Amino acid sequence: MLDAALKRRLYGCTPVPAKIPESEQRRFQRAKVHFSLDCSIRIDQPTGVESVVEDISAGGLRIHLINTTNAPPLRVGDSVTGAIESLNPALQMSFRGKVLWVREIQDPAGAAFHAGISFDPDVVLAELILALQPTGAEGRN
Amino acid sequence: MTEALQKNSGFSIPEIFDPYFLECLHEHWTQNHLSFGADLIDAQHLWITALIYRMEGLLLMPVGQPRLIKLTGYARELFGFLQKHFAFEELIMKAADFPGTAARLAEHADFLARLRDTFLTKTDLVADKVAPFVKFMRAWFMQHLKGENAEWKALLLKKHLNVNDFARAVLKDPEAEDEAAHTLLYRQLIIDHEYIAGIKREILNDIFLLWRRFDIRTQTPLIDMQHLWLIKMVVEIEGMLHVNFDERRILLERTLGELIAYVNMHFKSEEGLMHKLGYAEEKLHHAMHEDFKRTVSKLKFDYDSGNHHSMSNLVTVMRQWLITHIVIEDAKFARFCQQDAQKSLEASRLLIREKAIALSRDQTLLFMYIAARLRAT
Repeated sequence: MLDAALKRRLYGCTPVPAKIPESEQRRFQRAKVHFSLDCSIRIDQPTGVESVVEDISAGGLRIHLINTTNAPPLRVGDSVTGAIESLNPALQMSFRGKVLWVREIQDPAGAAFHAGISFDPDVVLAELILALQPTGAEGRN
Repeated sequence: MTEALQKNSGFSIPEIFDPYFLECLHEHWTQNHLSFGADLIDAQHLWITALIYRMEGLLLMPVGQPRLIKLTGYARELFGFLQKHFAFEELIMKAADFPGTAARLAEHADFLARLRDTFLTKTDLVADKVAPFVKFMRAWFMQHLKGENAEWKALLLKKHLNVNDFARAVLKDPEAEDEAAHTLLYRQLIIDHEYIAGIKREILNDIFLLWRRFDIRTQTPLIDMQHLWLIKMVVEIEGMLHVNFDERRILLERTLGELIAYVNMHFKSEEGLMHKLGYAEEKLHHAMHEDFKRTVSKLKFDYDSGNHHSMSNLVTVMRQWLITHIVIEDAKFARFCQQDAQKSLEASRLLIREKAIALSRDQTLLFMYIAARLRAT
């Protein structure tokens, strides 16, 4: 049986998350997306934005913007609405939020951008995302 | 390519540890008899098989940039890992004077070059070339496992060398190897036979069979996750009834306490949701919960008073009551929830936040496993 420390390494985040470093401003533990093939993001507003989700936390998302030209399709401060789509009902959710940052990255196929979106406070989070929150844990960890 | 892109794209270790994926991988590994018979080498082979198998799964995604990003991420991990794996194998071959080492080295180098050229250097990766290459990789690696490795295993045995000891002696950093993700995967899947660390494969199977047989789904993930966890606890406790008396007593006393606490928490969640949604039968349902709690308390009291037979009664009562209650009473509530599924879903999610209901990683993994296996069957 694997001990707790090894399991934490495997699963990328802890049920009772480790302390977030003081140097970082984020409020929520984040987890690398591990929901596999059945998780994607759809952005409804603004229109025409295609992306791949990279990280999810109870506070927001980091996305990889794709099919971009030279200019990012999102700017800091933009309001965004969309949905996390999945075959898994515990991951499906709609969201509204704001773009916190946009960064250019080098991609072999051309310009690409990453963006950080913070959820609005009244967004109702899906169970698997709520499970990332530091509320303790029931059962075996 | 920048470091940022290398770090962020596609591949993730938790994705490999997805429990349903592990079940499929385990089946693939055992049915094809891919074990070499030496833990160190098998752990590396298992990881490579997992990466290739995962890439095959990714081919089911719609063709487009998201699929490409993920495939490239996996290809990058595979390339780096194969470099180390081949170097390790080559050290063993040289140390054991394996005939034909030069030819093998050339094959390894050729394979790596093809992998790099297909995924990691081209800027105009053509979608229709990706799928055939992933299939080629799978066939090549299967050949590597079944053909080539069998030859040098035979040679090592002929020289009376213990393959594991020999391989360990060749390793540059055995400690790092022991802690690496591929070793953890091997330990969890092949040695411990667990798709979710800490939950035995047989238990997982029993949970799935119960879940499917009684069609217990309520379509509210919070309630389903809690029901699954309850069933898991009951199945585990049932297994404890078959161990010897002294061991059983210690195990049961601890686990029953956990189960009773979890049942209470679950009842509170369910009743909270019923109240939020204005369920007409809330009071009646609450009364059933209270009645059950009284029965459990009485049996527990009997047990604590020295009647050790009441423990197996307690386990039987819990199992029967929980399954019957979920199948009949909770199903009524589930039908009520389905009248406005979106409202019910939001209410249950708000409840998690308001009541700080904890959902552990293992609970979410169990839910994901059962959902994936149900979809597959």
